[in-house]
Amino acid sequence: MKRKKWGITFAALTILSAGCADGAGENEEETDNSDVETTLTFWNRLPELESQFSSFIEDFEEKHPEIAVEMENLGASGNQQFQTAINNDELPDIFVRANVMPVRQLKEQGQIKNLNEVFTDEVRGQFRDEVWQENFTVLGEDVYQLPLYSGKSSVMMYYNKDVLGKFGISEDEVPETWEELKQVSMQINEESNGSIYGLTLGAEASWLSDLFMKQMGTSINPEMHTSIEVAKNVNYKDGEVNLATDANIEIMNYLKDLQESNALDPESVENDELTAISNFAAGRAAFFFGGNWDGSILVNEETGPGFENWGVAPMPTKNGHPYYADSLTKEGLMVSEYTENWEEVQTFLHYFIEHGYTDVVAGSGAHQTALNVEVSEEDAPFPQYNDITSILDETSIQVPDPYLRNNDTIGAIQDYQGGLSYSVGAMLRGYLQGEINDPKAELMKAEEEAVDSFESAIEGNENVSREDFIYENWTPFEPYTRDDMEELE
Amino acid sequence: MIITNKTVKYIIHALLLVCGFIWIYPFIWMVLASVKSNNEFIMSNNPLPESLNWDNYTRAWIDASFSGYFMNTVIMTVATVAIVVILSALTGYALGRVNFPGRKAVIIAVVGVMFIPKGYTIIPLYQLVEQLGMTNSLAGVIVAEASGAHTLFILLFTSYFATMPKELEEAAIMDGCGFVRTFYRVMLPLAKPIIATTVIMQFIWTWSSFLIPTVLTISKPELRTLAVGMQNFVGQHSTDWSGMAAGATISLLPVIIVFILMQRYFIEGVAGAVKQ
Amino acid sequence: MAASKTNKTNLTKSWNRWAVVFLMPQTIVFFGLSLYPIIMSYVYSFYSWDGASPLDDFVGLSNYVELFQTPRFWGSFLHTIYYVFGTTIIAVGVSLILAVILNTKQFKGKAFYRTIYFLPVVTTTAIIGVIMNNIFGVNGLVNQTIQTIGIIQQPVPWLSDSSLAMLILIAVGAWKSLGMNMIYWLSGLQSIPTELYESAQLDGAGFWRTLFHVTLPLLKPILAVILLLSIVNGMHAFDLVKTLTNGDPYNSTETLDLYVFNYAFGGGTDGTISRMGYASAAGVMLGIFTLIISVIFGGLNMLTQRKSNKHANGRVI
Repeated sequence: MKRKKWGITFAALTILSAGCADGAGENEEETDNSDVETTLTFWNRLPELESQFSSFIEDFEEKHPEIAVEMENLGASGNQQFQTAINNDELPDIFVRANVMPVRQLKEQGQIKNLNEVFTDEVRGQFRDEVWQENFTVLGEDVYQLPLYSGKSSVMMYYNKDVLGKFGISEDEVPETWEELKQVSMQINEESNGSIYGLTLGAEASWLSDLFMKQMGTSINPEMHTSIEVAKNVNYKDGEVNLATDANIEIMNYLKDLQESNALDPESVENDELTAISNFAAGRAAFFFGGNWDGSILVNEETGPGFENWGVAPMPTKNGHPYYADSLTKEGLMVSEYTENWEEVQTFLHYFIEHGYTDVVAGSGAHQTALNVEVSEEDAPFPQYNDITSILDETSIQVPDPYLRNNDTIGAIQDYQGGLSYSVGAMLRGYLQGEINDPKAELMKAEEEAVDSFESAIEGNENVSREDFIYENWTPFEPYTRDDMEELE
Repeated sequence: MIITNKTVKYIIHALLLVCGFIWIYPFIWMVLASVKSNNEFIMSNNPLPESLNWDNYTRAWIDASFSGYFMNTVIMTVATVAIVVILSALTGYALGRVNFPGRKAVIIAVVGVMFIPKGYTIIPLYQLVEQLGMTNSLAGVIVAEASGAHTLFILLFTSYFATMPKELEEAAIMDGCGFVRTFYRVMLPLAKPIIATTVIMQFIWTWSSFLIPTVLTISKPELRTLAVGMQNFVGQHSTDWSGMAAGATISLLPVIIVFILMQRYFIEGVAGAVKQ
Repeated sequence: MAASKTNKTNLTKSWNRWAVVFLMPQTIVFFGLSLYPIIMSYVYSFYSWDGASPLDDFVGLSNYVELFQTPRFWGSFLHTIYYVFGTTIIAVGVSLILAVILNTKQFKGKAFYRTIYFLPVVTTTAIIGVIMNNIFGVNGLVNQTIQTIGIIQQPVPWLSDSSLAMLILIAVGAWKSLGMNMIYWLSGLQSIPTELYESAQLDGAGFWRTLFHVTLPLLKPILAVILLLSIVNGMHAFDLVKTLTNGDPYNSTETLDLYVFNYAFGGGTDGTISRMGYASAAGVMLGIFTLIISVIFGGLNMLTQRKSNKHANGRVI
């Protein structure tokens, strides 16, 4: 008996020695084809493109049997992986932008390869003009990132046609002002005896609230740009940091009012983006504020609710005035400086430019393509795709770019944003949950901290001044181009 | 102590069962969720599944490569546990059986290590493993997992060995056993309870360890472990909940089995140390 | 006679030598693998560092200064203390009751109950967070149940009210660690010699008298160990907090370890900038707090023990 139990430990030891041998020798992949000469490693950080990328890679491998591409989808620990890889010069051959440091810094540290060989003038000409953005896709004249998306991105209002139909609301009556939204929502809640709400949010995803509040806010304070990546909360007219703006206060109070009049789904504060979408699709609410990418999630049967009977409109604003979002070409493919397979990588990138934008980017339906391709009615991944795109074209507008004006603002903005510990999205949620009683006071506190951080960032970076954040010739709602910037100089 | 009253006994049983059900309800919930479709998981409030959906398991086992992760996790865990047992048994034996000069100081140092405050250690750990040329191999993960001071286990072994009667040792010496033979022929087999304790606790920790296996296998995804593989179900905008539940069920089973096999010794082991 | 003495000293000498050999592997592992990362984590805390650039921006103590001036950091310290005390009191207390029941003789199904109550300990914490989130959500099982029974009309915001969220966090934390404490208690109970119980029985002591006069006093030493382990574990609460509340609502359940993580990988709030140096400083502070609390606890423990020893000695004399 005793011997038997002891045997377990011994058995464990035996497995160990066998196991070690296994681990060392058994690293062969499913390489059934012997033609493969090179294997490219590829890290994807964008979950919305996972399935499209993998079928794209299959096609590529079929056309180029001598090259295999091993894709890994980075999950929650993506940042750690990038940090460790950069620290040890171990980045994969190709990867979706390593978002742990600015592009300029990646280049200065010898991590990313100059892609000019691929992006000849002719190739560059096929892309939308606005995608060549300093410190994202290019550094000066050199291309460092193959842009995936056009950069246009904004929050819009999705509406559930089933719910609207049930309460006799036609698509023409979809609210355009706050008051209309409130009235319709209260009507729905009353007529359904409290079981259905007007609006549902994914407020647990505070970044999403951050986005929609900033964008909705431009209808009240148009000079506050909406980027959360570049010079967050900086007014590009006077170069001052502003958080306790009329827009922020009014939006917070408006949503609190919606909550108190049962117009807002109480679950909103607990839901992240996906659960809110599921609630919306399940008919628990008539409206949902979501990003342009959320349409592709709504229709997805595997990772989303697989819901089709919805429409999309711009978010309602206080007086029905328009709002805008910035346009920033953030995401793209980068190549490691120390790749040993530059030839094969180029083959891959060329193949992507030829087929990837239709197959992967437009195919996913999540974003507009960086390459200028028209998506016809039949090619659209789902019927509402072109509706979303037209709202995008209307609302997503280029704003001034401090990076382009002065390259040294890259470090200053990094320092500035590192010192922030509040976000308006988180404050909205805190207010709705009753953790914050006076939104104005809380916004003032946050503003104070942000102003301090901004000032010390400007002081700490010699070649940067407040002037770099003041753009007198900028008119909000009009695209601010490189020409405008030159005019300013 | 004995509870004699029969009614009291039944009441206690009833209470334990009811509480026990609530206690493990989350696991029942998990198993039920693992056979739901993802849509049903999100939409329906009924805890019971509409129909049995086994393809979550296929999805976890094949598509999310849990089969491979499973082997990796077993190898990593078993090796780490073995190394930790050996290290702490050796140290514990030396500290518990031999009154060498400086013994007290070593014991204090061992205890002290447990309380050394540390900050962010993953990048330097990676650099170390890289120096050893072991990154992107299971060996590297094992080395990193087995590093550390193992204070708790060392103390368990120390106090357990210290209580063993001197006669045992003397008899062994009479039989012509040297120090090492005495250790592994006589003493170590007697320390089964402590070994079991160490195995169970280290097993639990290593089995669900996340950060070290992630970072140390950055460019070899096929070397990932179950806990890391779980993230295959979580995307930025979406989560495959039912697949995750299936994965969780798969990864939980071995730990439960190890516990059931060793639980008797486990309690004895902790008890042995407490006698001090 | 003399020969045997030299034999003995020879033996001691060789044993001492062997002891050193036995200590070597652990020593090598510690100095080779564990010490460097610990030291480096201190070094980082004096730099402004994003985790990936070269380590060249030495800032002295400014990370620490900033830390001390940040209310959110002190808030997370406070939440950690709540969590430590809450889980320790519940998990250590309730597990004792359970252990006493499961230690009674002639009680059937002990192994079964033990396994059931130990199950949460062996489960990956991240999964528990996800499950509990669904159970305590606005439309979760708990709210549905109490609404069906009709105790309340409106759902209880378990996870979006700061005090309730903290309570849930503590309850789940206690649930998770209770099984381990139960095992510690059981082992303590089993180390009490049966003769003591037998003589108590002969004296006519019933269940409760035996419990209060024999069992509990003898469990005092292990109580100290259990409390200490529970405190140290609670100080490092991370996985559960991350997956159950993620520090919400409005950072009111953010613990120190989560704070460190948020700055190391989450960029504080918006996920854009990683501040590894600052996070390291917070990590070092977490370690120091743990040390201080353990030392205070150890001191208190020693004090009470000395007192009771004196007391006992006094009576004997």
